[in-house]
Amino acid sequence: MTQRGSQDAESPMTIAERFAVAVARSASDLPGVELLPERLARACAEVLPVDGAGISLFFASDRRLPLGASDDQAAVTERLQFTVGEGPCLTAHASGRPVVAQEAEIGSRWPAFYDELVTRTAVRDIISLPLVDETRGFGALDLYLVPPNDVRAVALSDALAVASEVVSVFSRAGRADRDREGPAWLDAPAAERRSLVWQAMGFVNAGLEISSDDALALLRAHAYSEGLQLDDLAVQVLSREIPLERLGFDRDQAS
Amino acid sequence: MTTAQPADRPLSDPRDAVAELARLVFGTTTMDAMLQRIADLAKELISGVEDASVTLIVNDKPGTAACTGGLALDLDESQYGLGHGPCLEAAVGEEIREITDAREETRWPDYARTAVERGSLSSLSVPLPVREGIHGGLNLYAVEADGFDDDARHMSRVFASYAAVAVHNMHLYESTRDQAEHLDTAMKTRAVIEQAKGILMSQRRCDAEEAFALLAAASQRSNRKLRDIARAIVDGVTASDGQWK
Repeated sequence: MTQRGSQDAESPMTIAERFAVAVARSASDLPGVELLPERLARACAEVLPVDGAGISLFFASDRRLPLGASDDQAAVTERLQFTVGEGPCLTAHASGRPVVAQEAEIGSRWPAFYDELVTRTAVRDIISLPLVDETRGFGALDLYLVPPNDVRAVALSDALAVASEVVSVFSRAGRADRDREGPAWLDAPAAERRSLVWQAMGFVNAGLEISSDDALALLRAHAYSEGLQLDDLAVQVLSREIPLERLGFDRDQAS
Repeated sequence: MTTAQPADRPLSDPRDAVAELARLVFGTTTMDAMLQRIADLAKELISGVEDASVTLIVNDKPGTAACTGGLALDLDESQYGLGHGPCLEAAVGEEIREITDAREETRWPDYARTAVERGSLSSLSVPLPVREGIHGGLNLYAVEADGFDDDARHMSRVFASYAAVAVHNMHLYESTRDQAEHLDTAMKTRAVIEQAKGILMSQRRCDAEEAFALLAAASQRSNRKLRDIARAIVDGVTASDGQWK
């Protein structure tokens, strides 16, 4: 045991080991099991030279569930992508490949997302890594950079190593929760908040007699045109602050 | 067995059999199919084998997961019925158990009588360690006494060790896939319940809590799962004919 210090000095910890240490350390600040994704996101941001990180899962082809973000700005960036329905994270998930995007590329590939990004956040570069287990891709790890930091400072191999650690933590946690209605971390606060969007979809389904896809598209279009985040619009729709007729009006105008 | 086509060439090397196992692609095959392939390959590869089978002991309950014929199945099951026998000892004890001549076998006399009656005078049971908590064994039954020579013993041991790796990987794959499906179902279930709540909030002019209470009450009344009620509500409203109440 006494040799340990000198050994560490000779062979520094790998990125995966540093990540494990950061996750373990954050357990005291964020003890709840449902906060595991947030701990993972914070640990990602801590061990990689990035300004923020966010973890989200995908299901039912186009639904996206944010699980945890390292900070508010990372959470906002995820919600912007979800609102406009495009962005590096969605592309990374769809293609199964990492996306390393500098500001100019974000501007040309995802213009609607880019407008929102520069208006509402200081984030300019994004790295998005698919979270993949042996059977399929199930989510993405987004890494956000604020100038003067940029993507060139991040070694992709380090980022991939961290993404693979995230996958193994989730799969270990998933095994432990086998008999429940899904793993405990599905109750993450960010996921609970997103659940209001599904609620609002139902509200619009019934109120305007339209399909789920149309309901989501309508909510997205209205949020975008009003400069709102979809998650916030959902709250306003459900509290009837924004009458359905107004959403319907958007639809009539658009068609 | 003259100059056979390559395809008919009998397997002579465990590596050929391993290559066969490797050809089974995860995702397009099942654990059952893999275990069946292992039994088939063992029969093909190891000379003297009349019938082969794979025993799995899950939660202390032994069962034959795959076999090449009725002889192996009968003899496996007679051991399960007796609660002892070479195939159980090999699987649990993780050591090879061989009967060289069932007529003179003294370790499991009652089982040996059955083996003689069923026409198998020798057998070889090789452990097939699958994972913690699941014992497995590969059983090879021969008609004649001394059906297995040193080559066959060696071959069966090597083949079983490769097969164990394939089974272990398959098990990991299946458990990851089950977990993935479990997660996906959980996310979809949660979303559909939320969507149904939204529908009820709109239709009944109630809040989210009241909407959930309506779902829970409907679930109680009809003795159906809440998620199924929610699914029916969402499907009802989003049906293309616009029929909804």
